[in-house]
Amino acid sequence: MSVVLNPSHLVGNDNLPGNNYAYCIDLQSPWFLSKGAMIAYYGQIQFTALTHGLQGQLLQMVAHQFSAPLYLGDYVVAEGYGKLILGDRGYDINSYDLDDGNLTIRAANLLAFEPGLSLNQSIVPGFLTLIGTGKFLASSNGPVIFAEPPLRVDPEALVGWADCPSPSHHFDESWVTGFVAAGARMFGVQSGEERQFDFTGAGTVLIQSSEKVIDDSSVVRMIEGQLPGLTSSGLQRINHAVSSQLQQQQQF
Amino acid sequence: MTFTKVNNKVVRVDLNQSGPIIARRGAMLFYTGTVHFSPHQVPGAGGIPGMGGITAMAGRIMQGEHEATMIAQGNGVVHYGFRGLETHIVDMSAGGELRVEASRLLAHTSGLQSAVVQASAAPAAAGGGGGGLLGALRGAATGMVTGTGMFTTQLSGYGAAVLLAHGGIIELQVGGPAPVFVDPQSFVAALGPVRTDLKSTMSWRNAGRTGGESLQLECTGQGIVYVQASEEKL
Repeated sequence: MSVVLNPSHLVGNDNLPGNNYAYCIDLQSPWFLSKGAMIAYYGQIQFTALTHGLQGQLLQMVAHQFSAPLYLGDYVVAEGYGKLILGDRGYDINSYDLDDGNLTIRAANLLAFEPGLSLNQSIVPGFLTLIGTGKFLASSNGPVIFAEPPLRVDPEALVGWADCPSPSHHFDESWVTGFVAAGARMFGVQSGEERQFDFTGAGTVLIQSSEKVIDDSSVVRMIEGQLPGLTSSGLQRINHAVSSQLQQQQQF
Repeated sequence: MTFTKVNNKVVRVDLNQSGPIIARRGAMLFYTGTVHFSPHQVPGAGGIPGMGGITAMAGRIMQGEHEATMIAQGNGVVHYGFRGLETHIVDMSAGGELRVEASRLLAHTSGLQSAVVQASAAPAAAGGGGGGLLGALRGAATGMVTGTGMFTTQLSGYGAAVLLAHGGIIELQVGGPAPVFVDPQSFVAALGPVRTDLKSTMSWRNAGRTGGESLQLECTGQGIVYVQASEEKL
């Protein structure tokens, strides 16, 4: 039943045989790799952090292709030759090919990408946009569901979207029309589904079974980065919002 | 079928066919069409008029048998899933009773009546029922072991429901010649008049040497017991 892996038998650039949760890259040229995604490798491979230690050609490549300063610390460059095996939280891993296209993906779900793609920080917090031609690997909780707009997605269930379905926020508060419901709303009763991402236009939306957000460090960093420019009344408002949110989370 | 499996972890439902759907809060993944979501059983609003709503809700929260739910109404197709847990659809179009822990229930059609019943007691159809002080004690013991309350949610009527489980779900037929024993932590739900009794093989003689399987749920009656392939509590 269980097969003992051997580098000469391993098929490169595919999932491990009979295992959706691990993926093998046949490394010939440098790849960008999410920190912590590597679980094993054969051959000669070096992993270099993006923030320091890069030299020459690689430094050039990073400067050109990586314009997501908030995420510099979350990725490394893998260079050398060999077979590189990746895994992520037991999630399904799939590879995708972009041909002169664009795709925006949740940062926590992007495992690796070829330098032919340039990585850009999306204006939607916590998401990254890949532009160009090349292969990338993404993980998802359960198989990815592809859907076409128009549709509305729970923020936690969204993996990403391709082409331009112009995402926007949608707030569904129509149930607050009744007198009693409005009263309940004032006391903090929430439907829990009132905030959705709305997609319209041509494109594809990628969805997974909703996940509990484990790593939101990039969003936190972005909020932190904007704090110094705020007035004290603004800071107080944020303080208030944070404490009420904390209270709500402790309730459940 | 009202609910359709998209993959192991996601189900879809067409509201035009199913009517309103009651689902756990935060379980909606995405939808198309015009669908409105509102809290189900807002204190004092909807369902029971007057103060009944408040007291009923307070009672449920006290019993630990409560998850915030919301109701989806309108025209469209809604997809449900919850934190990557496996889903299982239970068809109750022929009618019946399903007893399930509130934390293991993802969604159900609005035609099913939900009520809170004592965990160890069998549905009335099975006759008997472990009432009285002994029954209550047994319920408390079950609760301590399974990490759930003394009470469980019972859905009855005609419709469909979706269960949540960590790992895949196995259906066990109850009512054959051999009794069915289930690990309390793997127990998900029981369909039909199934009676669940906590059995202990532990005594003073073998205390500490029971190998961790000393407590089992004995399932008797007629129906199906759903078991998950994991001992993880939800």
